[in-house]
Amino acid sequence: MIYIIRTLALTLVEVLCCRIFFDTFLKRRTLEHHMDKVVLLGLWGMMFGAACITGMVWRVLVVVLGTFICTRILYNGSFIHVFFISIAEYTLNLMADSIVVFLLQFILQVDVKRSLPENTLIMIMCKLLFLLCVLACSRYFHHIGNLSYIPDKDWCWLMVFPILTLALIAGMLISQGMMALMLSAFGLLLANFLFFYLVQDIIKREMNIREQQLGEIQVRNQMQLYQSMEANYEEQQKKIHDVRNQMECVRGLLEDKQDSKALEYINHLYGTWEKEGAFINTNHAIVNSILRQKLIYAEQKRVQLVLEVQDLSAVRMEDEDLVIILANLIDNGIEACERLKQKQRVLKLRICLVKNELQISTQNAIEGQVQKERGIIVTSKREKRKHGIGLKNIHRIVEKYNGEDFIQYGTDYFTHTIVIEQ
Amino acid sequence: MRLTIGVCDDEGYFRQQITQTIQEKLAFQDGIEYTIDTFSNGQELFQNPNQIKECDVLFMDISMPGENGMQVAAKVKQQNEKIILVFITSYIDFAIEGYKINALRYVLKKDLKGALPEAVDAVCRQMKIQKKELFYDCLEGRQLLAVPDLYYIESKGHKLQLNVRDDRVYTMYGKLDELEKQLKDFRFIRIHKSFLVNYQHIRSIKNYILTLDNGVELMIPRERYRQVKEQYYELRGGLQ
Repeated sequence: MIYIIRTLALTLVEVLCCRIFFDTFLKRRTLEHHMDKVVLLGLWGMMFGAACITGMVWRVLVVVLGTFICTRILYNGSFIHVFFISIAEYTLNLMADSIVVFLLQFILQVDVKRSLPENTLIMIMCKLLFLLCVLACSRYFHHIGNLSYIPDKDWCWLMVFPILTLALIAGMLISQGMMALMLSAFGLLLANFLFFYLVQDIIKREMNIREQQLGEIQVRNQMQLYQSMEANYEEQQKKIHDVRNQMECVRGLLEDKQDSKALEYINHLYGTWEKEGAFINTNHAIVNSILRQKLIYAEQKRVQLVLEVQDLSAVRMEDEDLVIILANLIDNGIEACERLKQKQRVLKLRICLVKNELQISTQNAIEGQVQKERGIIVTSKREKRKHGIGLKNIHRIVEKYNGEDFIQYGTDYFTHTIVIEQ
Repeated sequence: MRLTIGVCDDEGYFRQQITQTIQEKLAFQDGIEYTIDTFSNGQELFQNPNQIKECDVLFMDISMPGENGMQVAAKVKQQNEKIILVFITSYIDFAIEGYKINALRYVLKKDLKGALPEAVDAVCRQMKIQKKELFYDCLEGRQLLAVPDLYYIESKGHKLQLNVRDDRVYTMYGKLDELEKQLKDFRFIRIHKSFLVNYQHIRSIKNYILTLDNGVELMIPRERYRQVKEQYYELRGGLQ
């Protein structure tokens, strides 16, 4: 009975390994109604049957033929291709068995012809090594599977588990009684720790993905904001054209000697203009729009925005990218200034085109040290999870344009410069 | 340091406000002596031709009757190209032509008390460099050189070659490290173990080549390139 259960379990492992191995080199067929599962069950049955055959040659023939037929049903591929891959899979299986037996018998001096439980341990080791080989093939020769997307570091983490299990079983075979139990207990303890770190790593990556999604949302929101700003800007342009008519009206009132009404009207107009804010012309509608908006924002936050701008009509960048860079740079600067005393709240912004090089830089005073974590500047804002995205978005766009990004800081200042070839 | 300051505004109230703010700010600056002359229009400014030539910094209103501030400033720059201009304006309505005048600051009248002190600070920083003069014992004799006139210094063996405005070259004995220390507050960049360059004369840095205003090209070693660029953009980003 134990023999049957053992054979069933080991052949199931072989079938699963087969699946991974073939997925690496061949493209799956689309089969209806769980047909693939039925075929795999058939393969399992065939392998179990082959394991019961005593003649070595017959066993090999049944396994290779069975694998070949099932693979032809499950995968696309030429006759020769599928045949060779079936042979390769079986050879790999045999090689794993031989390596384990060789290592145990000649290096660790273990008698491989032992009783059933010990023999089962050796068989499990063989199948584990087979699984390791199949996974390695899948990673380095894959065409279809997902293993190649795993970063090298995670791949090493993943490989630790089968290797640790192999080492544990080998340890159990050479030691006896309590020693074997202790070994397995320590091994499990270690595996628990490794599992904990692996999970932590996965969580970290998940958080990064979430951060990226948040960043995309922020970008989308900013685009909506600046589209509305652009509309406001056009509206203002129309209003400026109306000024001529309004002046005509003032002249009419003065000619009619209605001085008080004229004064009242002028005061009304003056108030309206003040509210509309400052107007900076750089010959670039998007830059104008952002600067106008940010000047008002800086004024609200009682931050003095000192600008150096020029004719930017030759700037060749996608509008949304320019918006992200400028808005994030200015917002970061204003937020840094907000933490300072009133006299220090000066943000210098420079947007210039020098010899086909777009140079955008901000400089502001800072209080305390700039915090860095693994070479990356950490946000000093309270809600850390939601921030730090601005800088990442800037870096992303600078990379897109093959530009350069310089961050310089001392004990009392912080300068961020972006240089993009036009 | 001695500063000659001009204030040109057609409105007496603003002339007085600007003058007062400058005086208040300069009261906290050590080692600065100054005189402030006020003018109500461009005509007054041009009455005495020496006035413009001696003036270090001019605070100028843009909207004035007759010739506006921009037009006056363009003429002033023709007579004194070293003069520092600060525009004082009621509205930020910068015409594209305005950028060519290359003013140090545009200050809004409604924010005079807030923004003018920063502009005065910037003027002082600029003047500190512009007016700095140093004596050097050169092989050609003792020379008094203005820091802005120094383009770059090259180390050749035990000698240093000072490359100055109008392609003048002076040679002296010394170490570049010592000169670098002496000039560290005056925006000089060490681009090479044998070259110290004045930031304000750098025209561009591209493909490991630094080009100066006078067309001289200097090679930047690969290992220093990133650092030199960082220093250069840090100085640029700080405005003036």
